[in-house]
Amino acid sequence: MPLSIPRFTILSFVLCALTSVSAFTVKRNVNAAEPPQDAVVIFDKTTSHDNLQLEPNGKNCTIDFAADGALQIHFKSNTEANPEIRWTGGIPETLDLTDYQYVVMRCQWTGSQTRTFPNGRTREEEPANPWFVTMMLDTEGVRTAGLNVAVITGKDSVPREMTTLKIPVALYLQGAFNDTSKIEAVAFKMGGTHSYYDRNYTFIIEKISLAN
Amino acid sequence: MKTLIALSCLSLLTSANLFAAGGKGGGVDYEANLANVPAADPAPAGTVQLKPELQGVHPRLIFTKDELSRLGNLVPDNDILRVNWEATIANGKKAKADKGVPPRVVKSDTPALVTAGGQYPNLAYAYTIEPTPELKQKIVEILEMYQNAPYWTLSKEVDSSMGAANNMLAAALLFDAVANDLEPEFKKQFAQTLLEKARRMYYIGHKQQAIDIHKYWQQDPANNHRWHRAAGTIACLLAIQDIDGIEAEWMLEQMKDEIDFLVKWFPHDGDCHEGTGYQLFGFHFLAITATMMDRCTGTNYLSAPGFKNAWQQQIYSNIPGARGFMTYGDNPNRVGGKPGFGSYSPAFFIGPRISRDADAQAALEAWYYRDAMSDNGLVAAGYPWLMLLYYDPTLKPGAFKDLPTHKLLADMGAAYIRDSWDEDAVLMLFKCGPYGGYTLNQYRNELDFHYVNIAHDDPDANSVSIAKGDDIVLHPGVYFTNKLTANHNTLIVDGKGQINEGDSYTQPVPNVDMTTLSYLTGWKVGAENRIIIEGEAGNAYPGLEQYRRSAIWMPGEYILLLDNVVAPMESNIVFQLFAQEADFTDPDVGTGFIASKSGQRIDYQISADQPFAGAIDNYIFYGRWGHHLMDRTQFDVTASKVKFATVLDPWGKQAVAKLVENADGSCTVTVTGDGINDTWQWVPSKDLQTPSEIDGSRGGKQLISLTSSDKAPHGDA
Repeated sequence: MPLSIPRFTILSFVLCALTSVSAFTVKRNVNAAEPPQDAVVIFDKTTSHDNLQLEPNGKNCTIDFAADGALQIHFKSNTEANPEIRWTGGIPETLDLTDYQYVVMRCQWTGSQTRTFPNGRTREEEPANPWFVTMMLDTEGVRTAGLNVAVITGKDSVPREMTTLKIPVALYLQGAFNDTSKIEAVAFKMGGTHSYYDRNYTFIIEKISLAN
Repeated sequence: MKTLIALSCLSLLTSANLFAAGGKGGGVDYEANLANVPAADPAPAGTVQLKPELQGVHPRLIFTKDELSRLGNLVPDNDILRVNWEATIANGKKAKADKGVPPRVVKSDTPALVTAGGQYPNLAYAYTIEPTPELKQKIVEILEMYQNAPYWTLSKEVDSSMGAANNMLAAALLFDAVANDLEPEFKKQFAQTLLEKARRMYYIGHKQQAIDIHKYWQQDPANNHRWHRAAGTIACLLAIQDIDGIEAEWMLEQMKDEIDFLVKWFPHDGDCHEGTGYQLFGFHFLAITATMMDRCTGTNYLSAPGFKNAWQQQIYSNIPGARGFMTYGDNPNRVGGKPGFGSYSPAFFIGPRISRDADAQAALEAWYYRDAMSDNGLVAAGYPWLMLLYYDPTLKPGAFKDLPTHKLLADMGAAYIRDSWDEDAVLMLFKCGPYGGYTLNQYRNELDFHYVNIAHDDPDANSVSIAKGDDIVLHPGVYFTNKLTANHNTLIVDGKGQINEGDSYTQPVPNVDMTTLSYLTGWKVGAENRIIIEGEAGNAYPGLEQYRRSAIWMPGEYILLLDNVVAPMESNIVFQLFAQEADFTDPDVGTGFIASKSGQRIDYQISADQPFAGAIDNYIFYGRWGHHLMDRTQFDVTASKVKFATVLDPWGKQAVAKLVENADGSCTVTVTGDGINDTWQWVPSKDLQTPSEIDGSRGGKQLISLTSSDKAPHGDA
């Protein structure tokens, strides 16, 4: 069948080419009023977590579950820890981070650290920014950009109340070191610190999901 | 005839105690470095000498006793002078020698900068004002501290680091203050030490003989670390020129050649390609060097235009209603903070001191009052002696609000434009210059692409930043740990930015005249302070043939950005805006806003000549002084060419624009809003040099026009 183009369509096309386009298509908007919709739930305290593998990766780090099912990562002493949350089923083995807009993490930072001075005096501290970092690992164990949790709250402080962080995936991708199409673990990092510090922190997580 | 230079026996003995194991300490081979310092200098040519009337006069380097006495007479009538005079004396009385071995001031640069170069000179002033035995003893103890320290820096740059330079400056100023009151033997010993330090700085530092060191500051004349060395070395040499038995004349001649070189290449704007923050960090050291040389030897360095103009970069980049700057280059761009006047900020008062520009004096005084007024009254500068050195209270302030509301820093290809000098003003920074600025590139090009240090420059050509009232809204960034175009309010193309992006410290583009990469094309100042500025950055992108950005400044009404982008092939072309807050208000008509957390907001409306998409993401400014969560707004098309017209509405005039591309390739942009009904005829330039043709009218009357003859200046010429 021969292609037939009405005259008014041609006229419209010409006009369109000669005038401006002010309307734009919105690809993403992290500040949009609509909440992101979960696409993949990696962990939810209300559902089974038998598929999770928890790896503290630090001699003074432990991971357990609270009575209500929340995941708790405990940091003691002053040594480095690199805890990981992996999965064996229920969700795809690897995830392409670029398929999602947000990492949604409902979480809370609790606890304090004690500083001991040379004269033996001690002081309990609750630093707003304890340099606790979230990241994603690929199948080679290489990480995305590490995001300081105190920075991504936008308040220069870790969340001392239970908070739902809507973390744009773009932040993980900004300067990522790894293949972000093959993510197989959610990971965190707590660097080592001076020997005069004794930490007693717990990071509580109620939910981790990837959302759009 | 060669003159034998005796090394300080005391220094060597102490050195042996502190740095055992064959002169190596902390991985530094001191002996091998010192082996590069010859035992003797050649005979002087007699070209540079202390002024006859200053023979035997101390103090003399930056003031004489009489000059300071006359300044003191003005104290009761001038609050700025009074608070700094009092603080200088008070801080001077607090200064003391560090009894530690080694003292902190030689252990790292920071205490050398702050305690030595920053605060010890207060004591030189205090003693001259109040020559008490107690203050003399304080100076002697500090000089003894230095005399007993074999090295004035514990770093691989043996006695040639920035810290060493600041210790030299402090020691020389203190020695100068007390020289005529010292025990003759100690005076001669210490003068010998000052000469020793100057020779080490010259032979190890300036002659680039430090071992296993990246010679980052010796390669070009604009490096402010080099200026620190000049100040310390010149202070030492001028303090001892007339001491019996000290042969320092040849060294002074060599250092005069060095100062000739630095001043020759000092941009006429007095600007700094590393931004306002680094200008602040360096300028004082060049200014005090020139001051000492002119005072003591009769040179005329301070007549170089950069000295009288340097204040402009500070004042014009000042945020209208809050303490802080909005600057390119490496600066945290912090806003606010407790009352105070920056440690090195007083140096910029030398501008009106030289030029006698009363309006400039007024602008600097207003800056001082705004930043340093506390609930308890005016506070002193961080280093108050610098106010006594640079501030001339005999120059009565004029009216700073009479100053032009724009400043084109031609050396940098950057312009600051504001609508008024009021605290609620809007301030725009437009930047499209070469890495390093024109003067530095001229130096590089004349020397066959000699290395120049542009480490703190960003790939930010054609970037625009805006402050409104007391905050920055469209943000120029921070002291980025990684220099990426993606961090700036300009374009990225296929995910990539401008040439040589991506390093922690930017490096020169090999074998390329960098002034050909990005530059201003047009500059026009019209009636009622309307301005058109235009930049071309097509050569800065591997994936572009042309990137022409024109900014039309309609003060009190709107800012219109016109972008014409041409790529050799279909590319993803992304227009970026960074702010603390952002949102779309109505994508169907192209509107959105950017804002600061403090609530300063700028609405905008964007149009293009083809369909495009928008996105707002969070973005982290990874900065040396902290990370900042920002909102990044992007508009993108995938095409081989695109035109954007963006109207920014900082004055709340409900301004919107409509772009119409005509059949002949020219464009008509109409801007409407409260009291606004403007038509702009826009003919984008077809080449990479000629300004575009832009002509605006309202009600049949011309607003401003840019023509092919309105070329922007490139550098000082």
